[in-house]
Amino acid sequence: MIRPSFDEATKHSFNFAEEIVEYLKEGMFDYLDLPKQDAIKDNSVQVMKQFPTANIIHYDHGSENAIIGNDGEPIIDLTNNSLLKGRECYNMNCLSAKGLGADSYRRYGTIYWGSWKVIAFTTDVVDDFQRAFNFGIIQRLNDEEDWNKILEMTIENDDKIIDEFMVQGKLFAAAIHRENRDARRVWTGKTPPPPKDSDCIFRSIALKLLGQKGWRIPKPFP
Amino acid sequence: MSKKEWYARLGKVAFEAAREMVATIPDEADYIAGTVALSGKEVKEKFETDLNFAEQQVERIIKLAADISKKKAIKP
Repeated sequence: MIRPSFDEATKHSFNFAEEIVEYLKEGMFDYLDLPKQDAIKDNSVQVMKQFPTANIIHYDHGSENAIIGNDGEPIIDLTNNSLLKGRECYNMNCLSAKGLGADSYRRYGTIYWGSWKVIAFTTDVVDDFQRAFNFGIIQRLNDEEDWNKILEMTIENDDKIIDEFMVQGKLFAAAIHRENRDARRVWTGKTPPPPKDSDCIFRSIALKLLGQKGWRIPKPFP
Repeated sequence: MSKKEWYARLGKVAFEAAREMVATIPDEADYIAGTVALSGKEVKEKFETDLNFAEQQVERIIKLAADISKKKAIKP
């Protein structure tokens, strides 16, 4: 669990993640919590190298090609996402599914849960947003192994929450969460990222011969 | 009526609907979107002064309404 807390958004996401940490504790999972100033690249990378089969949970912030640490710097980006090989990654952050997640699935088979767009929430119904953001990982911790099924269940849960917001007259929160819902992505064998071409001639040949599996051929040079 | 007038009237309706939507965030609550953090009061002010932000809210209310209509159509 990597959970920075250095601005208004991460102050809330840190608290959202607290529920997951409690879940991990009570479920007697083996886990390592990297909160606040511990949630930086050096520590995170060290842990990932030490535990190559550990799954990753990251709570805020993200960009298209990176997940961000407590110092505002990338923890994982396109230069070191080989560290995500073979892992399941659950992200409550903006955008990282679009670039980092997609690349990590294509090259390394990473199961990547995240958002395609910016995530938003409002604090008048912050408990309900927490419920929405944590729902997916809680299903996984409850032994549901099929991430596509988890996404289906999460979207149903999102719809319930949107309906609740509507009933309460919280149109702004409902509209925001509709966007959050539609931006959810999980990259798996059943739902891979969109096909992508390459500028590299060797990769292009591999892609022509093997389809998108051509991304899995390791780079010959670092 | 010219196309320009047509769009202006439609835009006015959409803008009013978006304004009603934006009014539902309490002044003292916060709106967090990525790294942006605004109070409810600031959201309402920004809606009236920032065209890009207002456009985003208009899009939101239209898509929310479409979503609700779709759900109602699906449910028996």
